Amino acid sequence: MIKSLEVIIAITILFSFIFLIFQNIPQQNITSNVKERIFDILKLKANEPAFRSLVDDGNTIEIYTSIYDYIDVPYGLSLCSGYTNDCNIINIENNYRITTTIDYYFFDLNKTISIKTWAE
Amino acid sequence: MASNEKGFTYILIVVILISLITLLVLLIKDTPYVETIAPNLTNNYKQELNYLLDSNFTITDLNNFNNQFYEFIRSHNYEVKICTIIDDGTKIYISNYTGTELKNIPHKETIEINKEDNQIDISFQNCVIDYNSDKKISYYLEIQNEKTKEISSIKGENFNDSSFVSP
Repeated sequence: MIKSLEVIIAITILFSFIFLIFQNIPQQNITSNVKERIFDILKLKANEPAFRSLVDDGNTIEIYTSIYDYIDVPYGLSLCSGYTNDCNIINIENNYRITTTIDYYFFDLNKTISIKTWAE
Repeated sequence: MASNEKGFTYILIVVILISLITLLVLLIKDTPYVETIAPNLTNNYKQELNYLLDSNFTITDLNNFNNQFYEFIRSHNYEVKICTIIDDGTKIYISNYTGTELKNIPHKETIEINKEDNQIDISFQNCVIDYNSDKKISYYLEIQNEKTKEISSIKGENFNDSSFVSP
């Protein structure tokens, strides 16, 4: 009786461990897909003069909303002068566990858009 | 008491086994997970070069473009090598951002030459333009991070291979 209970507990612990390992593997693939998807959206948007104009004006809210419909994960955005200086940040809190960062540099405007996603 | 201790044998074996596997995984994975951004940086260069070439650019624009990307990528802790040759029909623009001082083109400089005066093929680092071919652009960008052992490069001759995903 004790042996049976022991075996059940041992198997439960073992399966919990295996479950945790397999749960973590797809998470990395999802992160990679999200990254590619967001970068493709930024590449497409970078061809639009209207979007570049928003970046030039530093209109962070409009930039955020213009890509909102295409990104199906929670995200935040920062628009920086130069590479990483003087950034306007929207929807990114310090306590978020950032999992993905996608930067896109606009050479003619000397500004960088940085999109960050996080684990909930 | 003795039977109770004996009763936990399997559980103890499983816990020890899990601990050993976890330890082994942690030891093998000696470098912490670093987000790979190198492909994004090279694609960013390609995309913006495409945007520049769609405009009426000058030699100064091209030089500024390469200079800004050179510094942008270096700001992400990557070593950068860029070469660009652009043939606009009358002039040929050559940019050297490879870290190597060449005879006629210093590092971080762009020169222009008249096409009519130089009816020869141009070969420069990984950039090559055949005078008689229809190819008008040749560029090569290589970036690497010594710390994370990340290397990414992109080589292009035209921009028809851009594959955008419509959102």
